[in-house]
Amino acid sequence: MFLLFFLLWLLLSGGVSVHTCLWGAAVSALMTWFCRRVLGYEWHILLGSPGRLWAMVRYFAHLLLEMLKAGLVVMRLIYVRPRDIQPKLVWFRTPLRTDRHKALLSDSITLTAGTITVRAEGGRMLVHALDAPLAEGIENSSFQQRLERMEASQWSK
Amino acid sequence: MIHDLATAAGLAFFLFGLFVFFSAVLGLFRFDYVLNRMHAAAVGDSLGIFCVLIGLMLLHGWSLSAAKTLLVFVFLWLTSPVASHLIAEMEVATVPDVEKECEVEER
Repeated sequence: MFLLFFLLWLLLSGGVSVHTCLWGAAVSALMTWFCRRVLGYEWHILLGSPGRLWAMVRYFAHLLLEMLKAGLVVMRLIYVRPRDIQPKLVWFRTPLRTDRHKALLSDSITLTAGTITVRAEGGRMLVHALDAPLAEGIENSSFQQRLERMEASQWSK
Repeated sequence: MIHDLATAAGLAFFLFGLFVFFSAVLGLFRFDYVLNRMHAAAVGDSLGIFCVLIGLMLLHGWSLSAAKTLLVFVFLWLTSPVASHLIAEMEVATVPDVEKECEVEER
């Protein structure tokens, strides 16, 4: 996390010199301490091992691809038949257990155009889909399968 | 040669991004209900932003501003799902007969 803050500082200050590096190191150390003690962030859960980090990178690459594909699908809907779509609200149950993974799942669903997470209560989610085919298989989407695998690797440790 | 190719690709991405934003606005007018219109806006948010910013990065070449553009991606894509989720939740919570607008299914 210290490294992340330091890189952000260098990025925003726009240059590498002794002055910026020293100030950056001081500020990043302070921010790291603040996040650990006061806000209670624990980054080792997310980025603990190289394997987990690699899984996150693969997940976000997959998410990006799905977002772009869904964007094209909805664009086609806008041009081809905007009047006879069948919007749908679907309640479904997710097997994910931790709040962090549930939040990731609902964020991913919302980021892909065509589906929006409306409500999440306990283990159930309400998703609005623009057209009926977009709602098919929502309760067992590729995001969910990947997140389940990531969660399983977390519990086994 | 490579610089020319990057400029051409950047322009193509940029123009396609503008086209995506045009379709998103068109979608806002063509769909007829709040929740449907939100999907049209989401297209601009994901595909449009992606194409425009990638185009800008290709046009500028790899520099500090390109790295800052990546930061823009991170913040936009962190905040936009939260905002659209809140709007959708408000809509569903405050409209008493949401079944009239779209079918509700339990799985």
